[in-house]
Amino acid sequence: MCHRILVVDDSAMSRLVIRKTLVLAGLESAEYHEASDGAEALAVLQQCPVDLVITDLNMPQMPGDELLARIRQLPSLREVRVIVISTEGNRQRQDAIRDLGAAAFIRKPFTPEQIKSVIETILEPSL
Amino acid sequence: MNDSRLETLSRLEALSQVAQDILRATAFAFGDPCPPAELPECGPAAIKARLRFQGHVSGELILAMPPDLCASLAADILTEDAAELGVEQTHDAIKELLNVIAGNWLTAVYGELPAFALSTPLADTVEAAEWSRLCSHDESVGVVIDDRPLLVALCRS
Repeated sequence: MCHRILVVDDSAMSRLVIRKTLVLAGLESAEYHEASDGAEALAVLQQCPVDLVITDLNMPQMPGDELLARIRQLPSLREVRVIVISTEGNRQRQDAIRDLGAAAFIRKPFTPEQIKSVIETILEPSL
Repeated sequence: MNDSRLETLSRLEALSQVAQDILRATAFAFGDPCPPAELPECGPAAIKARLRFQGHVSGELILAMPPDLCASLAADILTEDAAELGVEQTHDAIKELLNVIAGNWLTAVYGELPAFALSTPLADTVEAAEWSRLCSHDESVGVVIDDRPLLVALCRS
């Protein structure tokens, strides 16, 4: 199955690193989309349906937690899984992100193995 | 040694360790800690990224290094050839490295309970005089990577 994945980060380098890590995790045939903040991500989601959103937290325009909340409010995006990747170390904020409906929170720096493990859990058994 | 001095040393030791750990984890770069005043020559110009943190304590973190070291780290992070990277990617790399160092350093020093807001990192050039100032700053730490200098400076508000 070809997964459709949206990577959201204001750093172009981070987006590329995440994409390369996903390829290493076995998602080389996925269809990738990118956005540099939450507002741009919502615009992409209107045009291109995806299975998985991987988003940073601290971004200009619209941060990742607001993007997550907006995704959860939209019936058409209810099935979209969201993974948050961030340097955020505050436990309460991490819990709040999970409460908002994130499927996982991954702290930077991450390893390909961490990403692979989370992806396998979230996208199994279709990987 | 008074408590305040011990706290400062502890903060700086954590900053040095976190910086080394992040460089190793993200760019496979193995650095050696070095007093800033004893760092190798930087060259005519360096680049820096700066970021503000606000919360339980507030201040600014600055990461500075020569452009060739930054290009080399960016290439290692992206697993691409350093010669093919542009200025934008090099600046992106130093900003992202600082972002990750800042988030992990704040947790290492202050724990997981205080909340901090981090600003978007900004990249800029560093002239020789500013590099000297950063080296002599009381709360700077140095790391040597392949005979090239890297500085992290903490400026508390």
